[in-house]
Amino acid sequence: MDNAVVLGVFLALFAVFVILGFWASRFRRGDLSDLGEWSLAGRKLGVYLAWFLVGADLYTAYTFIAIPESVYLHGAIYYFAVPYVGIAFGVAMITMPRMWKIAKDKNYVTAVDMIHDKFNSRTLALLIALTGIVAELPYIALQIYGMQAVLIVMVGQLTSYDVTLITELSLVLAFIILAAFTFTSGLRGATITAVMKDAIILGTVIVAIIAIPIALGGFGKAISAFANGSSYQVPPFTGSGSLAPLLMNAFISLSIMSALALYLYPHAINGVLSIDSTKKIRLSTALLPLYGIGLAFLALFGVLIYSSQPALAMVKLYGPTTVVPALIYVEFPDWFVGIAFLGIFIGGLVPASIMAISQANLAVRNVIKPYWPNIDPKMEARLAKWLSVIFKFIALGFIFLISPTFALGLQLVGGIIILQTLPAIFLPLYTDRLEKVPVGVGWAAGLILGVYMLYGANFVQHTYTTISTVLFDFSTVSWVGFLYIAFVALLLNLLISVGGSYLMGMIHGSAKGAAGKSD
Amino acid sequence: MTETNKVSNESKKGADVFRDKVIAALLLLIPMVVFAVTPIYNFSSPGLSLLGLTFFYWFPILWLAITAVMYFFAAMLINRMEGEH
Repeated sequence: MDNAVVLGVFLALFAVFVILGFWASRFRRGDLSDLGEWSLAGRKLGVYLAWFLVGADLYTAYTFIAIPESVYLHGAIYYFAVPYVGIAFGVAMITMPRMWKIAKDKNYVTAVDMIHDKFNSRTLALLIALTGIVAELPYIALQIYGMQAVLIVMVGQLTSYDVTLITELSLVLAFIILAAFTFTSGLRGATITAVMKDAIILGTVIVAIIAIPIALGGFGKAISAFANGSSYQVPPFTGSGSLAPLLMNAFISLSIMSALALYLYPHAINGVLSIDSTKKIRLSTALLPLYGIGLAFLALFGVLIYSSQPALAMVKLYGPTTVVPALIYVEFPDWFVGIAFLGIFIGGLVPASIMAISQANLAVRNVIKPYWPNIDPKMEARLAKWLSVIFKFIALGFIFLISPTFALGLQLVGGIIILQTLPAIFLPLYTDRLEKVPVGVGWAAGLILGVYMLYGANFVQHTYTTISTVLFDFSTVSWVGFLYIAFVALLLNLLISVGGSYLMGMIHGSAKGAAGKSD
Repeated sequence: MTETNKVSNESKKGADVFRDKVIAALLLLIPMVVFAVTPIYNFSSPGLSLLGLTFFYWFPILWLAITAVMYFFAAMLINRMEGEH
């Protein structure tokens, strides 16, 4: 393997990526000193660009790094990502056109604008906005772990000189470049580079999911090798050909909760609101499950790697996040490795940019503006641009401070947080009867219970040193087994939000009735 | 056209819209329910293997492809109804 070729191809394509990112500010030209233009690309995206942009949120480090890593480490349970994708776009088909219509009629730019109006509460809007911003951070950090995985393999194979240092410096450099073009091009930059990213990644995925299983003699051999040889099977996270009964509810709760969470994230809603009609939202969303087929095969690489000794050796050396990069490195010619590595690298960069834009948008519209209403539009856009830079570097800070035992854990902790906004964001699309106080109390109770259970599962039920699981052990009741913490927290939240609103409605109703009588 | 004809046309149209709504709802709900009820596909029997993959692994992949088709028809139906308004 000529590692110089890998690096050369990688750098040349990265240069093209950067040029595209800056050029994008001229695409369908709009006034980029206006926040709506910068963050929603002026609501002008059609079916294809929308498919690429929203799809870009799906083919991320989550798909390439986190899911294969988790399947490699823990087996069948993390195949939950496949049903998750299938369900998530159904949820989107039902909720998002409604959200878009309400946003268009009332000229909302974020979901929180709607909450502010519907509940007539500045405080609730502020809480939901901050929740969205915070939940997005671990998701961005996950993207960075993905980029890091590619760099470690590339740098590590090229030189034995301080790999960690070179990797971290390269990451910082890449982030400075990304911040610069997000700053100048906004969502246009992200969308145009998303097209390049998806083209490279779709090509890589199609070639890889056909060629690698063939080269390694199919999945059958790997599945039995996996059952015997998995190095890190923490009971009861075993199972190779199917799911252990004790994990059934964990699998179901992980897939349904992840599906409900996806379109609560500010970046997903931001993506939907940038599309130009409800019809186009439905058509582009309907085809997104096709992306999931690639995700499923990449997840299976976590099993497949057990039948490639050289790739397995690389993963043991560079860490479990490198499952997919290692298989690609071992099985393909060097020029292709360069292309594929760039795909995975910008596959983390582009979503990170989209996520940071949506955070900035939320921070300006729903955190700063309500308390500083006289801010002029130019200043508004400038603030958002700087905030997007700051959020990116906060997320980058995660990887220097926290070293997670599994990257997916970050995203799943984010899921517990973001799901507590479900009653405030999804339910008002269908009813006007919710009250701000129970929804706020439900939000707080859900978050507190979520954090408490996360603590309990990791440091009481198990004695991990860092956050290593998001599953709570209910196995004393055998038909329950394990459950994703987000499910229990959301249940409590919904009970308080809906039940509380119902009770208040009854009291108000009878008060009104009494008032009517006394007249 | 007489008045009664008009009325029966109206109600026929109403029935069609209702039928389309039910079909669209089923096209959206069936894929989600199948994915969510994991016991439906949690099998590893060798007789159900495909490309060396057990049923548990290959069925959801196949179902994703079917899901995309069902969602797409649902989208077309709903879009058509929306167009009539």
